[in-house]
Amino acid sequence: MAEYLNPYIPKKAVIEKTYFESRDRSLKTFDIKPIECEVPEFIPGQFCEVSVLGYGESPFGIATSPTEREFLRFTVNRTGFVTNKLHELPDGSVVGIRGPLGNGYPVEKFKNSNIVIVGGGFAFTTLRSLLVFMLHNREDFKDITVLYGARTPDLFLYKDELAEWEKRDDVSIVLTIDRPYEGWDKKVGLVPPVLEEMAPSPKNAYAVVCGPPIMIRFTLPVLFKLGFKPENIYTSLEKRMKCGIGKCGRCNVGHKYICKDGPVFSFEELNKLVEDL
Amino acid sequence: MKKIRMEDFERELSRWGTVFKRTEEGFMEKDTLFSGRSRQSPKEFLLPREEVLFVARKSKDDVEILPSKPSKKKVVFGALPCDMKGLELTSKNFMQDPQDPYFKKRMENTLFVSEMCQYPSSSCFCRTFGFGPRAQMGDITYFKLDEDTVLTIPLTDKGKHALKWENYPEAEPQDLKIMENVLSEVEKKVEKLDLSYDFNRQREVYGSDVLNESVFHCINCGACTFVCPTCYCFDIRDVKRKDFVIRERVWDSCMYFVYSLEASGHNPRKERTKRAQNRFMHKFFYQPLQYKEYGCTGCGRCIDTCPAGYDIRQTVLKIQSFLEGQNG
Ligand SMILES: Cc1cc2nc3c(=O)[nH]c(=O)nc-3n(C[C@H](O)[C@H](O)[C@H](O)COP(=O)(O)OP(=O)(O)OC[C@H]3O[C@@H](n4cnc5c(N)ncnc54)[C@H](O)[C@@H]3O)c2cc1C
Ligand code: SF4
Ligand code: FES
Repeated sequence: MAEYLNPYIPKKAVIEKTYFESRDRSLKTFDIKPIECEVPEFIPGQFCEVSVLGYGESPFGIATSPTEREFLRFTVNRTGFVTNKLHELPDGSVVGIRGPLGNGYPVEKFKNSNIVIVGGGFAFTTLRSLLVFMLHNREDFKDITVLYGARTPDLFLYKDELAEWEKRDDVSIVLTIDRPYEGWDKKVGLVPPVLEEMAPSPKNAYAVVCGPPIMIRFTLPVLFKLGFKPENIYTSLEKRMKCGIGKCGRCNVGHKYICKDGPVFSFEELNKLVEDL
Repeated sequence: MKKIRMEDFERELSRWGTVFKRTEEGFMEKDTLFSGRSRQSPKEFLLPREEVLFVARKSKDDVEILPSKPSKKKVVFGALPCDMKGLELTSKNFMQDPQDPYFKKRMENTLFVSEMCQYPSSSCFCRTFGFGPRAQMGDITYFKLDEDTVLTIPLTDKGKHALKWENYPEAEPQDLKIMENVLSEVEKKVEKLDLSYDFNRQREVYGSDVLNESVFHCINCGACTFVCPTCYCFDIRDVKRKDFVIRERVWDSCMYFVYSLEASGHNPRKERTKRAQNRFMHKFFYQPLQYKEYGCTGCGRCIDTCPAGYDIRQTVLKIQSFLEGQNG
C-alpha cells in the first residue's frame, strides 16, 4: 500500500490494442489498460507519464473521455527515444503509467456556455476527450463548435469518429487542410483565416485552442478581434517534462509548473507569466 | 543552554547515527571540523546526487517493481545557518503536495546539528534574507565556545531525545556573554542587501536588456547550481542491466542546453543567457511568488565558485534599481 502513495512508481498497464492514425505511420494510437487497478478517474485535459522500462517515460495527453473508462487512449507522435520504442512495442506489452497528472480543462466552468474548440495537428488528443465528454453530457452545454486543421487529410486523428460527429446536428464540425489535396472536398485554408470566416460569437462562450505554437500565435488575434477575452480562452501547454508532479523544476513558465499548475491555462493567467515557451 | 565538551557531544550524537562533519569539501566522516563554510552544502543528505527511485525486475512475462531501500540514520554535524536555511527552502518544494517519499524518509533519518556561524566571508550576505550567523536552526544548535567546548540547546523533539541533556551543566553567564559578543562581531561583517521590489513584475525582468547584460558572462558551466543549497532540479533516467532496470534521479542543472530541449528540436531557452536569467528569476521572483520567501540564502557559494566571476548580488541590485527606474 505504501507503494501506492509513491508518485514516482508507475502502475503496470497492458497495451491492449494499437492502430496507426496516419498512413505515414508517424501517429499511432494506444489503448492501454491498467493491470492491477481500475482505469483511474480523470478530467479531460489531464495527462499521464507512460513508461517503457529501460527507456524512460514521456507525458501524453489522455485522449479518452472520463465517460469511457474501459481503457486509457493515447496517440503518440513518433519523434525521439521513448516514442520510437513505444511505437515498436507489440500489442500485449506491459508498460508503466503514472497519472492522471495536471489540472485538465475547467469543464465545470464550461457548463451552460457555448464552446468553441480550435485544434491543429496531433494536439487533438485531449480535445477529443473534451468533445466526447461534452457530447455525452450534451444538455450541460450550449452550442459546440469545432474547427480542426491538419496539413493533409491523412494527418487528422480519429477519422472515423470525425465522420460520425459531422453527421450529428448537435455539434458543428469544420475540418480544414492547409493546401488543396486531391479528393478533399471540404475546407482548405489555415486555421486562423478559417476561424475568422466562421466568426463564432464570443457571447457566453469559451474558446479552447490547442495546436502547434505557430497556429496558436496566429489564432489568438482572430479570437480577440471576434471579441473573446483572454480569461475566456484556454490552451494546453507543452514543455519538456520529467517528474510530472512539480518537483524536478523542469517545466516552469514563470512561477508556474506546466505539469502541476497546468497544462491548461487561460490567456489571462499566461499574460501574468514571463514568455518562456 | 548546556555546556558540553565537544568530545562528549560528538560521542553521544554518534549513537543516533553516523556523524558527518563539516569539512572544507562537504559533510564527511572525518575527525576534524573545518573552520569555515564547506564547498558543498549538506543538501545531498536529503537529495543525493543519485537516488534509486525503484528497481524493476523483468521475468518471462511480468515486471516486478521493487521500491528502493530506506536510507540509513545520519547526523549532519556543524551545518551553518545558511546550510540549514537552504534545506528549509528545498523542503518547501519536496514536502508540499504530493509529498516526495524519498526526501521525507531522509528527513526522518537525518539529525541536523547546526553551528552558529563564526566564519563570515566577503561573499556572505545571509542577513539579506531575515536570518544570520546567530540563527538557531535544525534539531540541535550549538555555539563553539572554544576548540573543546560547545554551548548547545535542542530545538526539536528529535533533538531532545538525541542526547541525555539532564547529564550536562547549564552554561555560565560569562559563557553566554562571550557568545553574544562573538556573534554580534560576526554579524557586523555580514552584508545585508536592502531588497524591496514587486515579484509580480516578472514579465518586465525576464528577457530585459538589464538582466541579459547582467548575466552575460555566465558560461553555463552549472557549477553554481551544484554548490547551491537551494538548487534542486533533477533528471530521471533508466539504467538498464541484464534482467532489471534501475530508475534513478540525478542532480541536473537548468544551465544546460538539453535541460529544456524538446523532442521537436524546439528549446525555449536556447540562448545561453536565457538559462542564466531563468536561474536568477527562480531565486528572486518565482520562489518568492510560490513560497513568500527568496530562493537564495546568501551563502555566497556561487560567488566563490563561479569561474566567470559572476556575482548574483550585483544582478539583484541592478534589477531592483531598474524596476525603480521604470516606476518614475
Ligand atoms: C502535457 C503534455 C502532453 C503531451 N501529449 C502528447 C500527446 O498526446 N501525443 C504526443 O505524441 N506527444 C505529446 N506530448 C509530447 C511528448 O511528451 C514528447 O514528444 C515526448 O516526450 C518525446 O519523447 P522522446 O523520448 O520520444 O523524445 P526525446 O527527444 O528523445 O526526449 C527524451 C525525453 O525528454 C522529454 N521530452 C522531450 N520532449 C518533450 C516534450 N515536448 N514534452 C514533454 N517532454 C519531453 C521526455 O522525458 C523524453 O522521454 C505531450 C507533452 C506534454 C508536456
Ligand atoms: S558558476 Fe558562473 S559561469 Fe557557471 S553557470 Fe553559474 S553563473 Fe554561470
Ligand atoms: S516535470 Fe518536473 S516540475 Fe514539471
